[in-house]
Amino acid sequence: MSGAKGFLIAAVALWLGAVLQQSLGRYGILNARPDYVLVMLSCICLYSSRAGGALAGFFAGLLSGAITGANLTQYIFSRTVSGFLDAWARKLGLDPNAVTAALNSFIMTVVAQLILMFFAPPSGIASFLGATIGSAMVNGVLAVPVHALLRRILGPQGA
Amino acid sequence: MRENSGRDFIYLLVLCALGAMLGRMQTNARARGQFDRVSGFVRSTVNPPAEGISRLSNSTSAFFGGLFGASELTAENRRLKQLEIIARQYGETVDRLNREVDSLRALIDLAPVAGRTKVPALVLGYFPNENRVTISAGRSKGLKTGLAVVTGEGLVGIVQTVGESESQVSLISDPNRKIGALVINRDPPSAGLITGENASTLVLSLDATMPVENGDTVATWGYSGLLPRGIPIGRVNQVYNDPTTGSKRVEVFPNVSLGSIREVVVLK
Repeated sequence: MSGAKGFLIAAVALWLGAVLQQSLGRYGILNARPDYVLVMLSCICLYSSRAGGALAGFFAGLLSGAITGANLTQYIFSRTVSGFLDAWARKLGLDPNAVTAALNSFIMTVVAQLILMFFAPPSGIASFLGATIGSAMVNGVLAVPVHALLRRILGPQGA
Repeated sequence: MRENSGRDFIYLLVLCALGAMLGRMQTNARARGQFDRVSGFVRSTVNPPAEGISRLSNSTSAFFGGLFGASELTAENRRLKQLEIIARQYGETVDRLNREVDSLRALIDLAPVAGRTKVPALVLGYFPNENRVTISAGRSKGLKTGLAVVTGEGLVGIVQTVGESESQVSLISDPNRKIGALVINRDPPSAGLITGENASTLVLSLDATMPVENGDTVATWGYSGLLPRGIPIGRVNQVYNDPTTGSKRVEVFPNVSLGSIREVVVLK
């Protein structure tokens, strides 16, 4: 994903993720709540360069931090590094399909939340980790239709 | 974009440094009880459509709930109308008594009793990991930091940051927030500080000599001047004695189910 079209699609996807997070973020399955911004970020990173993944992660962190009112530094740092690493993982040569999108979203959620936990240790680490695993599973499921839509817009190789 | 290791890592560092700068701006603004400009801009682009989707999802849920429970809802509506008439009469008496209390407090140079005016608001967003909710009322409705946010069941949290038309509320489950609390079943009431542990457990610290039992009601102390006294917080679930510190760790189950609130009232 590159150029003005890629940037625009990524910006709209992240903004949509933030809108969904703000309005529907409270709904979950068995206390496992989705993180729509991370879902969008993980799908964008499947088609991004390292620098593009870091930039998408920066804006994802900014959006998440701003809507939750959480510390912007912690959110931006965790999402930027996660986006960078996720986009780097493209070098493994995996074909972006439904299964890799789900796995990618699961792993990225865990990594992003672990980095966040390192910078802002929560009071109950066990419950935070439980919520992270639950959130990662829901994100993995949500990533499948989001990836399908993104692939349809970008084409198999990305824009 | 062509991959270039050195340039990409510098790019990553620059973005992280920019994040740190934005975080510093946010911390400075929050110290003044305000949103920083960047967060404010992001929120102004995200919140209007989010509010629309929130209303739509609430309406859809209410519509299908109404389809299956119309007769119960009609009966409940009738009963609530009767209760409203009684509450209005009671409210007038309370207002008159509050005016008397205020005039007597003014005689001895004390501030008026807090929490008289009620500002209704919708919950726009719930963030359990951050122990925060966003509500649809702000400076334009006279809100300021430190005010109590409640539902019919009890205390939800405290207003932390105020924007023009929205505010962020730090929930009672926040481990970084301490609220003065009383065990109101005891005479005299046992007083201590309550703090959050997780969404379903709050911890009240009491002196070892203070009486408390499972099932006792915990309510706000009201010593701050912003938080009215006697707002229910929760019920005592478990009491642990700590002989080394000479204190009691009292676990409290909150009255309000924090994950499912949709409407709140701010007491100002």
